[in-house]
Amino acid sequence: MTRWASDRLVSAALAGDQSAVECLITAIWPACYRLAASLIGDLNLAQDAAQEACVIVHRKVRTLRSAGAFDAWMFRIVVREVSRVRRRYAPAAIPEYEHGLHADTTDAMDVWRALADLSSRLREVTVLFYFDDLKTDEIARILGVPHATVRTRLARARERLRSVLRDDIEPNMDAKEVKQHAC
Amino acid sequence: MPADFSTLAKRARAQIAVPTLNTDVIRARSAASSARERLRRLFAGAAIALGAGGAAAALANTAGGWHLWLFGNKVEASIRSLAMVREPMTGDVHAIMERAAFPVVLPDGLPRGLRVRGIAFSPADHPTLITVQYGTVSDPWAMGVSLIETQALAADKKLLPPGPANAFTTQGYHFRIGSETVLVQGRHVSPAQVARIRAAMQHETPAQTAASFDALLSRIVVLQKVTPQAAEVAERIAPPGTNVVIGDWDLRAVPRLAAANKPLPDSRTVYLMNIPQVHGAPDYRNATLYWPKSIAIAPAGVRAVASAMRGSRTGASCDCAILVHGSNGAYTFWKVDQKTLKATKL
Repeated sequence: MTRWASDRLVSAALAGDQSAVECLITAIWPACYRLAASLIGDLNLAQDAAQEACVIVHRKVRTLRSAGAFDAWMFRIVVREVSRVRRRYAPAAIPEYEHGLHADTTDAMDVWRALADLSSRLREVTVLFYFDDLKTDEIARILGVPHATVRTRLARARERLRSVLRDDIEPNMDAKEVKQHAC
Repeated sequence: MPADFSTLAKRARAQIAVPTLNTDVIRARSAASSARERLRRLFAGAAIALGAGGAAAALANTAGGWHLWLFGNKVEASIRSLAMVREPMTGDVHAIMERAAFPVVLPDGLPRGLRVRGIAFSPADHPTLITVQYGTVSDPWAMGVSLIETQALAADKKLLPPGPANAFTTQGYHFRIGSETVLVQGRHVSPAQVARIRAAMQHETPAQTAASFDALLSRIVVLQKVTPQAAEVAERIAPPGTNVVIGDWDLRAVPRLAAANKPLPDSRTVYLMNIPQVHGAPDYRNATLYWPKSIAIAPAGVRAVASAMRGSRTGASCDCAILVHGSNGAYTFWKVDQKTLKATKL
């Protein structure tokens, strides 16, 4: 099972089954949109980036060598499309997550406000690490930067988040880091 | 409230309401995007670069449709509009040459094995810039040769665009033949090859170069998406006369067009207008696209194709191309498997 869709669906899409490609796009859409929204902080731009990522999947999924490569490929596409959209349009200074959230989201708003305080580079590593549970070496490969750079960015992001987040969230921020770096 | 940031983050993300995805939009954007990608790659050849020792003067063109600044071995190109013909045929080339604002000497003396994969020109009504993109079966975009009306270029450094230079350098060569400036670019182009091209263009008459050029053009109408290998097979088996080879994009549309008694459009020519510039480079993805209404197969032919497809149980997802030969209202069909390249008469 890939993070995005079932192996069977990805394999069928890779084999050129057009209906499987469309099922795959429908399956990945929510995750794709949410990842883009987390990365860019503007729901309209997130939709644009996620749609463009789906267009790329529609066009190019058959060029993938194996279903195992799908996860990293998807992350790379979404991150790249978000960067492209960000370059083209200046995202809203204040994130617009409110419009897409349910009522009782105080904790969630804390997270989004904290993320909004990060630069796009710090935000990328934070999202991929804390939201998507990717390891730092995986993030390095997705972003095309050295492993050490990812770790440095994560450390900076964590420092920044600490100053923004409330105290009751802060203490366990390193727990996941310790666990993941052990491997 | 959880104290773990990761848990909190995931929960926050899960609360984002996801809008409905319209797969029709994705399908349409995918089709348009593929067309634009091909254009982008085609115009990588028109993003002209000059070899070392190139002109020291800045050359600038202020003709409509495009601006080009050549300075030493650097180039800045700004293209506002262009037209492109994919897999051009003799008639297409002659039409472009007739419209051109200068007497065109076509490229000649190119390495063996190259075929003309596309021609882009700008401005569309009276081109002063014509780019021919050559490819092989394995590398569809092996070499680009641009023919520019030299008079349209003015040596004036002052005309260089202000602000930070967006110029870039790649391997390329340029020379002049009569009233045109020729720019040759490609990943594997050697000075010796450029010298051969120059010699051939200098010593042969326009009629001779046109004849050599015709030999590199497609003899049949190749629609999307047919692989170069399948197109070659179709060209080999095509009888003399009108021949169109249809790929999966158009095969998908055939039943609908047949039911509506509509012709199959010839989508090889496309016009791009209002091309925006992003970071000093043309952004073809966001240009306005326009396809002229030319016909590849008449309604009767489309119905015949649909009938042949039904009869042979050939679907749009067959990964095949169908060669349609029309003669005096009668149609003959061959199916070419795009993987095995085996041709079967339907």
